[in-house]
Amino acid sequence: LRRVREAVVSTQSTGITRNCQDELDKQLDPHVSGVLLGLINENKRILEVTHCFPLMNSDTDESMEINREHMLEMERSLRSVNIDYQQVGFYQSTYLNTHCDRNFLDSVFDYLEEMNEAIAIIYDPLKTKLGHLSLRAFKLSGRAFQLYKAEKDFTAEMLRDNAITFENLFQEIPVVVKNSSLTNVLLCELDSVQDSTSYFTLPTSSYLEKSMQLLLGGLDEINQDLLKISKFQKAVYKKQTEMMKYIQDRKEENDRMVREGLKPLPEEDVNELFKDPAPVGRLESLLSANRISSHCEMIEEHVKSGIGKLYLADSFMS
Amino acid sequence: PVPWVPLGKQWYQRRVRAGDSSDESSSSESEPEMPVSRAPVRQYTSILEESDDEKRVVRSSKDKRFSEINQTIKAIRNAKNIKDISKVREGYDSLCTIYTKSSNVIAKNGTPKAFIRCVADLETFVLTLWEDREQKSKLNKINSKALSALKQNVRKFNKGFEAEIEEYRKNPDSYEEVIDEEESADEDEAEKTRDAAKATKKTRTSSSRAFDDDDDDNDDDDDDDDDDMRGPGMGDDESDDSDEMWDDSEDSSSSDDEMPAIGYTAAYFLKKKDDDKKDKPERKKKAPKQQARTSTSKEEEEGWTTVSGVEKVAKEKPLFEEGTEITVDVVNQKIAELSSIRGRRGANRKKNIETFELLTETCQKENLGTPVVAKCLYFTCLAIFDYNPSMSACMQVDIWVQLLVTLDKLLTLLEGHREVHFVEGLPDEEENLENEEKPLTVAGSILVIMERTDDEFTKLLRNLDPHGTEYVQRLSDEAKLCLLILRVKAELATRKASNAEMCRIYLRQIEHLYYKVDYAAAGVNEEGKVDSREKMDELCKFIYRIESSDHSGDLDRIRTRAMLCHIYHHALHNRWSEARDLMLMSHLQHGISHADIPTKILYNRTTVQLGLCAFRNGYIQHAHTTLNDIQSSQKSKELLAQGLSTQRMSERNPEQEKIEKQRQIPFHMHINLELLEYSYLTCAMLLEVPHMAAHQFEQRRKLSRTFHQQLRNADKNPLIGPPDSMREHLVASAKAMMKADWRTCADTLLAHKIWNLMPNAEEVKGMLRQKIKEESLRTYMFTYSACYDSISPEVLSRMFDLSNKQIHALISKMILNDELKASWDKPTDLLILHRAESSKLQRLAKQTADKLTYVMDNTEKMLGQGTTFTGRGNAATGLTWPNNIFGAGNGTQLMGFPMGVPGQEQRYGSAQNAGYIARNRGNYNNQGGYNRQPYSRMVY
Repeated sequence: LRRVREAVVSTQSTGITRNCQDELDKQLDPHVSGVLLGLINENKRILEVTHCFPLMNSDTDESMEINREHMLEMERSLRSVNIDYQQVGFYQSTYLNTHCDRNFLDSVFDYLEEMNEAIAIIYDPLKTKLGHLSLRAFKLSGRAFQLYKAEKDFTAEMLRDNAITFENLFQEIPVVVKNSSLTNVLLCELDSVQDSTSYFTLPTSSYLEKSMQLLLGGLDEINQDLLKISKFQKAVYKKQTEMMKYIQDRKEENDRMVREGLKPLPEEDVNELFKDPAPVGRLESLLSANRISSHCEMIEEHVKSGIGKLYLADSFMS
Repeated sequence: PVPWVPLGKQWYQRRVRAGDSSDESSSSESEPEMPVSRAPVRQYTSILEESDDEKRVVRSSKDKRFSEINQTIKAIRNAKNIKDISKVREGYDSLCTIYTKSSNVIAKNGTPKAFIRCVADLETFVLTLWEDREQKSKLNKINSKALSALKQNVRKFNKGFEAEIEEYRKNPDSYEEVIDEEESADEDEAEKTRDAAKATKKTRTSSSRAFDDDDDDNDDDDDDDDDDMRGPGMGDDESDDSDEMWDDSEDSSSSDDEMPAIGYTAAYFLKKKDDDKKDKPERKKKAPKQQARTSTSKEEEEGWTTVSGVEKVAKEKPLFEEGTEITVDVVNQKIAELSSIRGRRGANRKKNIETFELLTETCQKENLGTPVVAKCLYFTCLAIFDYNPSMSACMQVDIWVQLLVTLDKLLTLLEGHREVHFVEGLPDEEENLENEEKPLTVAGSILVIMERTDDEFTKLLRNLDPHGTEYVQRLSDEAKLCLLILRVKAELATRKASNAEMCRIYLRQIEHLYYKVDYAAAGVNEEGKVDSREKMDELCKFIYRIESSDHSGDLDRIRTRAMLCHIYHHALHNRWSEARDLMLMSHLQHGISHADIPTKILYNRTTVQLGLCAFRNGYIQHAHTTLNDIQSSQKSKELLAQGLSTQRMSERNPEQEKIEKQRQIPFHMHINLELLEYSYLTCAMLLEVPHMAAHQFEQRRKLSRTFHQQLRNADKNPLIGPPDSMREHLVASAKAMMKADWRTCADTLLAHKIWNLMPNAEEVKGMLRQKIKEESLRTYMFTYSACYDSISPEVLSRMFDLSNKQIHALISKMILNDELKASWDKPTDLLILHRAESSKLQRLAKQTADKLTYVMDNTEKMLGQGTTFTGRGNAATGLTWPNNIFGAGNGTQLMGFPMGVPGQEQRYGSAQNAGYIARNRGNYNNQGGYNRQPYSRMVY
């Protein structure tokens, strides 16, 4: 199994950010997605993303169809101009790391099924606007991939046996951004003209508030899941007691029959009489846990710098 | 003589069959003068011995088929007359199917002539219609379609009967003749005795003539009888019975549905037998009775009058034999005899009443003494009660009037003769009707009669249309009824009735009083009227004073009811504190769940009235809590027994519905549900709107779900017009109040004219206006205090049209209750507001902390459950996982979310960070007043 060590994204030609930003400006829907093209350097175990093109939001069958045609068309055109046309994954914009849902998982899985090395690049426009370019590459971890291939929803046992947690459900692949020399020069120039006072501005609270709200939403989901589990537990317990009672009754009845010289009732399969309650699917809660953890990370990251500044200011004032 | 064993259906069937077989042997059309007065009983006895089951089966199936055919033919003929072709076609189709079905019967007995005639007529009818272009064009689409289809069918079907039809065509008279004969025979019947009539009829069926006409007549008669139940004399009822009998025998002898009819006849003959036994030689009485019975059709109206003439003669003498000396014993015997048939089905109830009345008259004439007359009157009342076969049906108005008159007579009699006593549960033998030396006693209880009458009155009102004039007419009877109750009370008092009995009659009086608004007390002074409050007090206190020595449930119930009525009466007259105190001191609410349903209903009514009283007096909080229960259940109609609400979820079965209907309270006692709802919602609004404003950001506890529901419903409305309905008024005013616009709020709310239904509408309106001002002020302070640094109470006073003092009081109260962070600045006379509200971020962080606690609690609980599972050590299916999943080691991770210590710390870290920053930001901006450490509690 070949493993991709890192993904090198060359900004010059791909322009993921540009694509996303354009799309986001154009439409209200914060979700933008597209196909990544590139090549795999097997020796260095590097996935190079060299080009990309956007797709429509594929909610309906119709737009799916259009997307598919569009992809074929693009592939043909790219081949004719001798550009890498190998699909290596997809990119997607996110709003405060809310991307991690069932759809995302399905897409990642689909790409991985086609190609072992496929990745998904998540672009956060909000963060980028705040001054931190945010490009993260993900793929399903190997175990999760195998598991998901076998079963579309996870039970608790499956998670346990494969040791899958919310943390290792997805595997993050380091991204190296490779700029053209000209861009590097520009960046250096920009660096020198940067206003040094802007360093002291505190992180905005609206961003924090939104993150907190999302966190709260995630917690609600977890709570609901907990309720489901406890309901399931109750059902199991109930079934268990009923089964015991049934066995007990049957035993007594049989004893009595034997005493009276009658033929005892046949031992029936108790498991058939009492059905197991349906176990609670774990996938959704796995995903929401994943989201929660990314929200936490986000908040932490966002606040970290601020705290430092506050301490700094505090010591100056006193 | 045959022993009179239980007469069920079986007996009845046998009788029918027997009638047939005996008649068959003597083709009796020719002998309509069969022994007129042959006692039926004897006939049956001979019949009972026969048993030929096989024959019976054949006959009944034949009868059944033929009657089916006849019915269909009749339907066809009717449809033909009104030219409803599609109906004709339907009928014709069913006729054909019946014909084919009954082919084996027909093969045995030959095609019924009526059938042939019908078919032939139909053919001509169709053909003429077909030819008649003009007529045809007039027919509508459905009918013309049906006509063409019918034409085809008829042609096809009639091929089988060509010969018969031909014969009929040739000689229609022979067919007609038969029918004429029947009809003339029918007319003759009037003069014939019942038995004879039966004979002819039966013969006709058996000889399978066209008896459809006859059938027709019978049916018509039935209808007539049902229509004018009141009109007919005693004979009519009888004929009704006999008709039913016949119909029954013709239809099917084995259908279970006919049970009641059979019961009728059974009892009917039972009674007859009694008669027979009693006075065998009494031809005189029996003959007119039977004559009366025979009157069946309308043309016989004249015959009826002559009969009734005879009956009058009979009426005078039927009770006792001529020449019998009418003594107390004889009367007693007669009463016993008549009352022995009480309650039996088929006993002529109407006649019973008359007989008793007659008996009373006779007794009075013969001067048999008051006790006897009283007894007769008493039994007349009982007979009247018996008039209705079922408990649920209400009395007819004339009977009701009669009842009142009789009761009045009885009471007058008793008032005149104090020496006569009614003793309940006295055996008949111990009655003393004559002996003047001993106390005169009569078995029975006027109290029971009174109570029954009262119940009947309620029932009567319940069944009348409350908006009709008749309702008002009946309602005027209440005065009479109350008077009667009073008289009974006086009688009981003089006769030293037991406490329990006195309580019962007192309760009756109370129940006629408690729901009435005393306008004298309410200000409209009428002279000479006793204050109903005093009266109520007096009545109730009488009941309270009676010590229930034997702790009988009955007396407890009476006391409970009296108490509830008392509270209701207080509440109705705005005496809030009295009503509340009585309610609380009585501890009624503890025992009420064990009470019977009518008492529960009364309790509900009282509670609601109490709530309304609180509302009128301005105790909004009390009113809200009191009314909340009844309004949130959505079943106020049922709970107050004021009609049935439409249930969406589950249709109640008819049985339940019947029971519920029987509980209904007469309309004039209803509590206005609209007013109730509006009052409740107003209370809810006054409480909820400031509450909502105060807890804008928190997940608020809702005070009133119903109110929120109304708001939500209104929000769904795409277009909001001026308020029209009650609820729209309310929502509109609530919306205004949210903006602290008290003027609009009050105007909209009070614009609805329903307030005029309140006894003291103006006061209530004034109270509401005041409340709205106050609550609007509170809402304003909650919503907009953040916009002020300081505010002058004068401004507020101008804004809300409240005095400075009131403003001061209200705001101070808010400050005291920690609802408003502010303080009074005396020198400047300003209200200084403090900024203490936490920022949105802080609130969010707080919420997060709460949620996390919740998650943790839940998880711990679940882990505990998991261990209990393992504690049972069960390896059965499905049980392995909770143990392992929650167990030590990787359990926490396997939950699928970061609930382990590291995860929590991480998140708490961020939450704390957030809080820290927020706090520090607060300090940075230096807006002061940060006296609270919102995160100090976040220690885990």
